[in-house]
Amino acid sequence: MTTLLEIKEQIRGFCSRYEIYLYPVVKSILAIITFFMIRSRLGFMTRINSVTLLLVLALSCALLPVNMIVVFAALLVLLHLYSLSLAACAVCFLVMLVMFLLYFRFLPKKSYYAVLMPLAFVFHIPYVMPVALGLLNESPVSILAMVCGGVIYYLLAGITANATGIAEMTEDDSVITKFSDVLNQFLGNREMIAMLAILVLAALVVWFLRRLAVDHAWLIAISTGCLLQLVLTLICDLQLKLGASMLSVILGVIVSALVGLVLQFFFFNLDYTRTERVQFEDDEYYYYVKAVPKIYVSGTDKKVQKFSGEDAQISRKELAQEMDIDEDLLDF
Amino acid sequence: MIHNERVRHMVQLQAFNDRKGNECFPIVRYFRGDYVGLHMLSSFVSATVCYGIGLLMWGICNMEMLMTSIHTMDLRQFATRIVLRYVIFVVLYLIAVYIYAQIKYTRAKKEMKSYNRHLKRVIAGYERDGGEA
Repeated sequence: MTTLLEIKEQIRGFCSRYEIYLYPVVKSILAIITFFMIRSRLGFMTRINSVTLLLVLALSCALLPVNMIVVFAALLVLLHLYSLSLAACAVCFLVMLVMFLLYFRFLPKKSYYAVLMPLAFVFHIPYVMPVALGLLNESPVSILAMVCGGVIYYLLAGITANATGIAEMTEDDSVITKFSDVLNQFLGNREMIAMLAILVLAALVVWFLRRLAVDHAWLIAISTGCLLQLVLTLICDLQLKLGASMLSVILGVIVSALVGLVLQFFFFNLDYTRTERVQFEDDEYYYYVKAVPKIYVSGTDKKVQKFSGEDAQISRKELAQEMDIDEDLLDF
Repeated sequence: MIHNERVRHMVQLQAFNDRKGNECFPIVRYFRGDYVGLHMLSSFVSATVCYGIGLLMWGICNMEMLMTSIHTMDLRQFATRIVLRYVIFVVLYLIAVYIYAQIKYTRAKKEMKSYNRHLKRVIAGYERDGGEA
């Protein structure tokens, strides 16, 4: 445990020392993953599938605010969908516009959750997001960004799954018919509604529990959130016949619990055995204070003493005196 | 001569500028009522546009039904229903925005109190040293 705590302190020290370089690097990596995921999942417009173009976009995100990842990702998605079908592009644009007007206008700082959520879905770990959001956010409003990301993921997944049908344009079809088809298929997606409801509920429960003034609040929040997600997903799967893979669900929940524990280790590692309770008063109030110390290990400063031949030159006589032997014995 | 105490406060001020300055300074320029009112006004426009988009989507999805029953349906009742839903949607959204704007303004004011405290100490430090800087 001490080793882990030392590693944690070293990581924290490293991050705070090199924050100025790490932040752009993390933004670039997130942008690269996002843009290449869009390319592999959609990729309908070959002109913007160029690796160089995507890399330039991703690297430019290192210098721009984090929200530009969302803007570039939205533009790439719309261009790919335009190449597939005007109706699909229009539906996606309108959904994004509604999200922007109703939510992202107020909380642009959290808009990158809308990118992280589809990525979590693609990697089959959507359950990580409610746990992470519930643990790390002061306000539950950012859960809405997660919902927006989920909606975009299901919209794009539906369009990709029916790409051939959407792209084919028969004589009877008009843009409006296609628009209606895409929209109906999106709005009638029961899996999306059930999944988003589960994730929102889990995020709210995690957020509520970790704020409680009880011992091991974070651990309780993580375990309850994960169990809730597992149970509700299983119930929804049985009731709605969603056909979700049980192994994938269980693995996703386990990963979310592990991520939650890692977050707890880094941000809320308390020693409950040394809890102190104090009471005091002033003119207006009586205070009951419970103080729980953080587990902290100061990094060991290792001093390395170098013994090099150049610095440690010693005469034969001195060496013989030091070893208390005859000087002639040093001749071999 | 470097005044350690003053430097400490100035570092706090700069840290606030970097972390929360962009968020707090534009908010506290307004009176509370003006800030909340401005948010609600822009949100009213946003909510109206969004409702329009939703209505458009619904209309396109149900185009066939609308075309076949437009001559038989009670248009006044239909319009009343649309307007009523619009009012409910806008009112609910504006209530949420009102709460959000109030909380945001209160938080910004609270943050600015700490900023002003450091600022006052820096100014007091300069005055104590007779304007030496």
